[in-house]
Amino acid sequence: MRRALIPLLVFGLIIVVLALGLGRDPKLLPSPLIGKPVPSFALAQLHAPEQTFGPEQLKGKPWVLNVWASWCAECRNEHPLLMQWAAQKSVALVGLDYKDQSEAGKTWLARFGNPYSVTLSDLQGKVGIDLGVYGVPETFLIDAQGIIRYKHVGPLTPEVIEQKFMTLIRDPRG
Amino acid sequence: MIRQPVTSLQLPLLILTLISILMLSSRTVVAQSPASPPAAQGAASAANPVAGGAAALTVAPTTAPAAPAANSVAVQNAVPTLNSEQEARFQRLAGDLRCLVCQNQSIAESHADLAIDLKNQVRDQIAQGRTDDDVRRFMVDRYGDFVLYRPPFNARTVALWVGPFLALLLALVILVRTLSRRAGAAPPQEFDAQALAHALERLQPATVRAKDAND
Repeated sequence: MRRALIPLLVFGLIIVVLALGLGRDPKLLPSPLIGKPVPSFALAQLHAPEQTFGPEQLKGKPWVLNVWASWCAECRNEHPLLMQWAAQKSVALVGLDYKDQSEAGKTWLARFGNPYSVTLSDLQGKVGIDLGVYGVPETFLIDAQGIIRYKHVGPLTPEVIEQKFMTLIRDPRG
Repeated sequence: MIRQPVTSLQLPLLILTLISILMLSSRTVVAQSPASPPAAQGAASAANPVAGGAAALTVAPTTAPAAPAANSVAVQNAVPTLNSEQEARFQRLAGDLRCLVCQNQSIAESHADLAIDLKNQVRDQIAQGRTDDDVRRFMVDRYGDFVLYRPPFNARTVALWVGPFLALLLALVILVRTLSRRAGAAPPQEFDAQALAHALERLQPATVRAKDAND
């Protein structure tokens, strides 16, 4: 009788493994860039296209890069949180307008508010590819040395901002 | 009690069940390999890489994305033209890279904006003289192992590749041992002579017994 239970146990084990796997969201991919330096780039600013901006200019303090677009519905959902976060002035927020028309991007910010210290225009998505962006919104935390410490795919939530971003900002040793 | 031997149908059925469980679990585990979440698409996804890749290598380099959002921009400036050998390399590479938006398609098959961007990136790199390995490494550096449509065979994925076969081997070993044990386990039962004679007599058809009795 005991021996007959073994296939049942093996079956149960397989069920557990499958259940764990199927419970995960296939859209969330871990980023291979965590712990690596943020790729360097120079992008035109959305509101001042003659000026460029790159991550080197923010070395010395941690900053947050939020990838968004005016055509992205989920970005609207996380936007109020970004506005709140900006109001706290706890960290510099940099926006990356991804594959968007500049006019549309500017209009969107004028309409819903602009939480960003500076907004960059990635018209072709080339910088997005370097950052491993595959869907907006995505948000990166870059530390004072220019290393990517965390990447969040999908709209931000208060828990993510507090537990993932602010914890690392306060204590970069993680 | 006389034990029944395994019937001729049970064995193939058992093996078939084992194999299908292993295939299903390996499909899920494929997606669970260190850099990737589950695709949750069952065994069907195994057929896609070959069938889909061969059927859909007809994407022209400068087409606009099939379903762009209203304000999105897919700028196609100066996508390089490739010679036939480079084009063949491009098709092969594009079939080897996964579209991260529609995760069960390669970028060759997918019409997502990102797939088109990545295809242009691959064309650019081929035109610049990069090798196939360079291109794959470029993609894996940015998107992780999951961007490779076929999981690579390395220290982290060896369990993924070898696991199902090991499990099948283990199952077969257990099967053989169980069957041989069962075949040898039931010793022939011994009836005493009187019980045997009694049983034989009762086994005779009733008409023969009646006939015998009337003789």
